[in-house]
Amino acid sequence: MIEKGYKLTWLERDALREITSIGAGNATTALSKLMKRRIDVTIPQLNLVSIQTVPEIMGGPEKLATAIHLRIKGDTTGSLVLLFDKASALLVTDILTGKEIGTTKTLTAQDNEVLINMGNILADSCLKALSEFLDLKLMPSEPGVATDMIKSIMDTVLVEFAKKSDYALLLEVEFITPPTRVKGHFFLIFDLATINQIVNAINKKLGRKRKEEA
Amino acid sequence: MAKTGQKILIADDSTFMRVIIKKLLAENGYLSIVEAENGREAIEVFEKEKPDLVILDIIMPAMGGDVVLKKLMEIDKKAKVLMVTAVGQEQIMKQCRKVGALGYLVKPFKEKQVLKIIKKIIGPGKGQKIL
Repeated sequence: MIEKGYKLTWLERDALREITSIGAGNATTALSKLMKRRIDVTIPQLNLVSIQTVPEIMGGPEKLATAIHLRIKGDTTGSLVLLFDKASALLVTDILTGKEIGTTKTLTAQDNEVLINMGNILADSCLKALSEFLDLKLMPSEPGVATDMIKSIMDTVLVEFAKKSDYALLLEVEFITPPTRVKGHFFLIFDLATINQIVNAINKKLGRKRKEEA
Repeated sequence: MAKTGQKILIADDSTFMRVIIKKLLAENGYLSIVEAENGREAIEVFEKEKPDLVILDIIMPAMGGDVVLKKLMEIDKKAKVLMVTAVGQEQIMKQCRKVGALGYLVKPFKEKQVLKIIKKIIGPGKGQKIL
């Protein structure tokens, strides 16, 4: 059982931010190529948070959103979530299907398939980057798509986490595609056992043994 | 006394990345490394240290690497700058090339690839410790 108050050194925290940012960066590059649009990204934010607070951080538990989510399996476990508000989800679908902006009013099963395909490409790009950097095997599961309140979406995503840990590492990157104003959030979520594994891999890469701050 | 060889400035807001790159360079004969953790500091260090090469991260808070690049080229139009990014944006890279960057690396980069491009720009690492 992972204890509360998990401690990371400053360098480990910095490394985690950088490595997960690299994953997110590679994913947004893939998204840019897929959408044939420039994508502007914010500086990634990395936080160790209580699982209960994740829906609030993602915009509010009752906010409607479309999420493409998948589990990360292999040497570590976690989740990847790509979150769009309703308007952006419809815009993304128009762009990906080559329709005129504003055509899609509600997502059909076919549109969901397009979003799932996008999720596959992004996840593959992100996890490949992380795998190469950390020398760990990270593979995506088949993505799912859900349009629902954020709390309901995250209840599904986090159900496995809640059994193992009270905390999750949350990386958030906001991206915008000018001029269409598609706005989305990219989240990587890891439990504490996985964070431990990643931190060990980081220290191995630095050629040093793990120290914990007092 | 150690021969330190070419001087390289690593400008990246991530301490981890600076440590990783510095370690790689030092293991390959590039012993004179200076660092900057943000854009402003990169410009100050560049003016003071006059490095042979700048390895410049694109995404940094307050002042992005593309802005820093422009400033460096204003200070010295012969400055040798290699951009580094986790987001392989072709357009931004093209712009950086137009401003004067000699190339770019997309993270995560392969160590051999980094060394190959650095060697091409400033030659093999010449630093050697005399025991």
